[in-house]
Amino acid sequence: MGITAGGMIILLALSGGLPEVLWLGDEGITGSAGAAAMGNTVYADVSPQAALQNPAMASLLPEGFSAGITGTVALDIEKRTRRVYDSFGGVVGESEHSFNQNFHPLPGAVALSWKQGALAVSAGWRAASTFGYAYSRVMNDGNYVKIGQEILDISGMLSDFGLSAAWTRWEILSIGAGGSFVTGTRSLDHRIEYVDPTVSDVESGIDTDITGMTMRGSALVDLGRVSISGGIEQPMNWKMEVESVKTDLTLPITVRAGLRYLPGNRLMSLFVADFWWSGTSSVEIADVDAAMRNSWGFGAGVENTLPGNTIGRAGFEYDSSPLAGALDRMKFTTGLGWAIGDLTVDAAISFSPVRWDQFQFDGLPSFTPGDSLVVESSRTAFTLGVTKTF
Amino acid sequence: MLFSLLLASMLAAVPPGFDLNSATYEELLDLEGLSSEQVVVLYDYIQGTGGLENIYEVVDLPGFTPVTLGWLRENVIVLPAPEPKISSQILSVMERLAQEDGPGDAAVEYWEDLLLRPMPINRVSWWDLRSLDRVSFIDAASVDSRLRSLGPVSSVSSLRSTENLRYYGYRNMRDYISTREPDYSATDFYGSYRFIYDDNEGRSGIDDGVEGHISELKSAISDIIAGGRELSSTSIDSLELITRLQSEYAQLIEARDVTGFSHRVRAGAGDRYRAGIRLSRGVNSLAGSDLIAGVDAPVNDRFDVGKVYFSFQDDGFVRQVIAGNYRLSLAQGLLIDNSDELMYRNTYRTWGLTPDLTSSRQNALLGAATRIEAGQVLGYAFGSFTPRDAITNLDGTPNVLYQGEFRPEEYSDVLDETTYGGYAFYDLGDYLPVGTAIGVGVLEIQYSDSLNPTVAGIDIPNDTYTWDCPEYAHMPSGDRLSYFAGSAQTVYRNMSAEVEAVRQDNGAWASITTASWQNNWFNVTGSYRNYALDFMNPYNRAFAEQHRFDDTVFEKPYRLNDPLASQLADLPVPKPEEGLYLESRFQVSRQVTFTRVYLDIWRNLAYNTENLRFQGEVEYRPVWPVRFRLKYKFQDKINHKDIVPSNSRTQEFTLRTFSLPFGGDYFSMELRYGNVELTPNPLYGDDRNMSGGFLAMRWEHDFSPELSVLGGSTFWTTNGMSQWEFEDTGIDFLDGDGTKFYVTVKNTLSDNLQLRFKFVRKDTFFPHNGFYRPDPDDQYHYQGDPDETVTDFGDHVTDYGIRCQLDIRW
Repeated sequence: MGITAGGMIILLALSGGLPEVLWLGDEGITGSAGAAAMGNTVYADVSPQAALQNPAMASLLPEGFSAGITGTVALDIEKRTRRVYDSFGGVVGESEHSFNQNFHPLPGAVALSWKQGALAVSAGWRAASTFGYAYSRVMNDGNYVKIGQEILDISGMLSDFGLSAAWTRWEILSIGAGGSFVTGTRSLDHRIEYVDPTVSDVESGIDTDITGMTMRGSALVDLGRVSISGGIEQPMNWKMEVESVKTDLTLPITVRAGLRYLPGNRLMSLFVADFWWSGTSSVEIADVDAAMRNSWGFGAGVENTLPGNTIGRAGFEYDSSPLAGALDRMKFTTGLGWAIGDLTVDAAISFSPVRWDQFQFDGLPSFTPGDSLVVESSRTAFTLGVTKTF
Repeated sequence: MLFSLLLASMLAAVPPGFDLNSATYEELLDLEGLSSEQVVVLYDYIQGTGGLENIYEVVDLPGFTPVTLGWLRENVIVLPAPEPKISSQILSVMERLAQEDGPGDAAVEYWEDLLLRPMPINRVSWWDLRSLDRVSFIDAASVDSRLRSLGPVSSVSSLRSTENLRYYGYRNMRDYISTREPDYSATDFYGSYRFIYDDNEGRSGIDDGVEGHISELKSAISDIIAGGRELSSTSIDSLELITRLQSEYAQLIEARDVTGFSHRVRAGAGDRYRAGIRLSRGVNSLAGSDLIAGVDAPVNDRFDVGKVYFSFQDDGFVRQVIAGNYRLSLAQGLLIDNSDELMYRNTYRTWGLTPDLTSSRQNALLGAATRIEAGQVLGYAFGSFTPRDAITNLDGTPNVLYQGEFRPEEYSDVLDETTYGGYAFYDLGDYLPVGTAIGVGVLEIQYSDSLNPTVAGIDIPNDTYTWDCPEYAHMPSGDRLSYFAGSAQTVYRNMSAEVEAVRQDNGAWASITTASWQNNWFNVTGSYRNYALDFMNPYNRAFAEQHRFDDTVFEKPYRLNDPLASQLADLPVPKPEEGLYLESRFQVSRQVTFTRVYLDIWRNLAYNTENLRFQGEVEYRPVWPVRFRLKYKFQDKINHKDIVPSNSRTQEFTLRTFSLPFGGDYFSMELRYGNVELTPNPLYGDDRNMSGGFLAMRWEHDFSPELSVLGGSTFWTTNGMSQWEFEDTGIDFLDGDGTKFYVTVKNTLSDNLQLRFKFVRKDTFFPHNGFYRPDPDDQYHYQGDPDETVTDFGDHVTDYGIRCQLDIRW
């Protein structure tokens, strides 16, 4: 049945091909801004926010209280084109069909950690994922006279309220555990407004409530210059609710690993990398196989202290999509950071393009006739974060 | 009590020569002059920076006072931490090697190895030194002659005074040689791991990449379905052909989303043992057939190139044995050079036997090879058994061997190839000038299935094009090929001469003769080549002006039954040609140098058409940090046509400037304009002039020896004449009008870890006008929506690319 399983088929029919926002949304910036600048390597990040994702990592935080907050603004650009063919069936080029550009603020995360000796505890809130999409198109007839306008707007967010604890043993080994409660709503509004008053406008909207729990466990081995961590996440009791109809989501376990390496050079360089794998081929919606594929991703980045004590960062991230190979995303990241006493201020910019064809998804209804629709979209996100130790 | 005081005093005492940089956290805590807070700060600083350069650095750390500094000065020492050297050197040398018209991958990989474990100069011969980049045969023989006459050297720099060795040759040699002695009993373990991630997002490859092939396949399918090819009057089964094209189309659609990955591990023990393995898949590549046939494993889905080798080296009779994948390049490459690359107009060639972990696939040799030295005889013997790709006829029989980026299942691993042979050289350097040698070689190739190059399987019947491709007509048929080679070379003072001739079992000959003269400020190289039309050796990579299928029907996929067969144009084998090539470098003064001037006059032996190409580049260096280079290229080429041959005259002007405006900054700018004058053709509106050009700028800033950022931008416009630009470490194809920029970050974190990120954005604009078509059957349309009118539009293509490389060494 593909990704249109369950109640999702209604949403797909309305939105005409937006598979990302119709699954669990775009991943948010859940770690620090420093990690965001280094390929979004959250699992190798030492910050109160990242400790909610990788509980054992809290053991690397400084003694006492640490607080961190991040926020993001994103510029989304989407261009839809249609392939133009000649009479021999050869592609001549791609003609623009619609162009959408949206600028919206996105919340990040706020968390507080406390560490004393071998014990560290963290708590906070993170925007686990966001649903942000806006599309509008002027509709013309065959003589290029405007007959109406089509507008689609999808918004919402999944909030993750988390708590975690870490305990260190033998100075090199830390273990951690945590859990979070996830809740949020995705709102979809679709309108077609006709110029001709005798033709009725079309308007429909759907709100989908999503709730669930996620349990986490991880371990960290700290060898001084090198620290390696690994852990698992198990979603539990996830549900989608549309107009009081609840649907069970069976989500798989996710395995994660992170690496921090301090080479020891005059630039005080730091190399970080993380990796994740999820058995998403076992996802079920209302006990029906969603026909997804297993997914995985990795990120890597580097940090150097430049002359003047400004910290420069760069990295990249690759995430495979559980929906289709065409939606696999690469992300380029870079950023700067400044330390002012116990306060650090970090900024990051990331850029992520993706391009896919309408016909690359089984079961996706056609947004335009034929197979010629191509979607090119990109997200440029600016993240700002502050961390303070007390 | 006294004992307790004594014990406390002993515990508090700092051991003599206590080094702060190498102390553990616990050892620092034991220092009575530091508080625990200071230890935390100091330890983090030492870990983060690699160590203190001197003790006075501590006064800049938070919480440290002059009193602390005084105590530390009295009680501890600071030994300098070792500086990383090898990794940054590798990066800089590899970038220097990665130039336009530069050497191929296999050579670069070999040189990278030599940077880590240089050649022991007192044990090498001229044939070893000939494998180095921009080290001429004369340079190599001069060093060998000096070693034979005056004995071993105690330092590399003492070679500088070698008679007839240019400074240019010495400079290119010194990074790869050392005076160390090989130790075959040593077992020190070393190795490296390289990971490359290569991806793009956008519509890359519109012209000759995956998008171009998809478009051509779709067009061919539509044409056949519409009955445009009149296949009913031929023996071609149209249903079978459509089924094949649709299968290839589906495979290419999948390939659009394929990300490039490469994993390469190399390891060694002492000077005797080396081993390596590579698993990779190219961006947008089709996996083709199974990497490991008959095994249902994920490795078959993920990778399309798998290579492995084990190498044994010794200083006895058998100098080297390689089991697995290897690369062999001998003499002038006329008999054997199994690279996938053919470098145009390349007079430098790597010599010898090396392990092969490159991305080459179609010409990779898998088996065993050995190098033997017995007295005056240097011998190579090799054998290989490996599958090969081939363009196939509709009945599945192999038509011709091809090498393509896109390997559909229908073309992949179609037959097995068994290759074996040898090349032996007798060194006459004890009686004649050092460098003099004669050699004989044989090469035997056997296929598991007979090659059957029939035009009927390739040519579209009844179309307007009359098939005429002599290069194809003389492609090998049958299941066996054999070759016999003879070669000779000599060096006299600062002159050298080399000749190699190969005879194929069908009686066809190919030969090449090269002579050089050089000194520090002037050199000249002349080469005469003659490759018969019916000579076709798949391992021939000798000097060439063109690939075998350049300027043939295989550059026009719309004239082939299967458009993917057009990849035959990439076959890295020289065109049948006879030519005379002259090249020179002349340093007039410290300010003015003719960096490269060449003239190639050649005849295309397929049609007996005369062609000419000239290029000259002069460099002006008014002051040391600023250089200007002006390059002019002229080419006059005649292409065979049915009635009247067409003629193309290409001119290209390039102005480049390089400067080092500040310490740690490097700036360069390049301006190019080119135009082509063609014989008018009514089919293309009698447009007889095409032109194009670009402006490229590049700036690199070194923050430190370990970190540099490079940025570049290019603006171009073309009017029919596409442009090729060398960008950072590769060639980029520029079409339409457009702009692009790229950023590269190079970070040497330590001798053990190197990183390199590259990001590219490229915007190309193609205006599409004049879409009105009166004929309803000849309309532009949207797929599946033929009734909607298509009006003029501007096509804006945006491509993004990323390439990340991570090197770990131990």
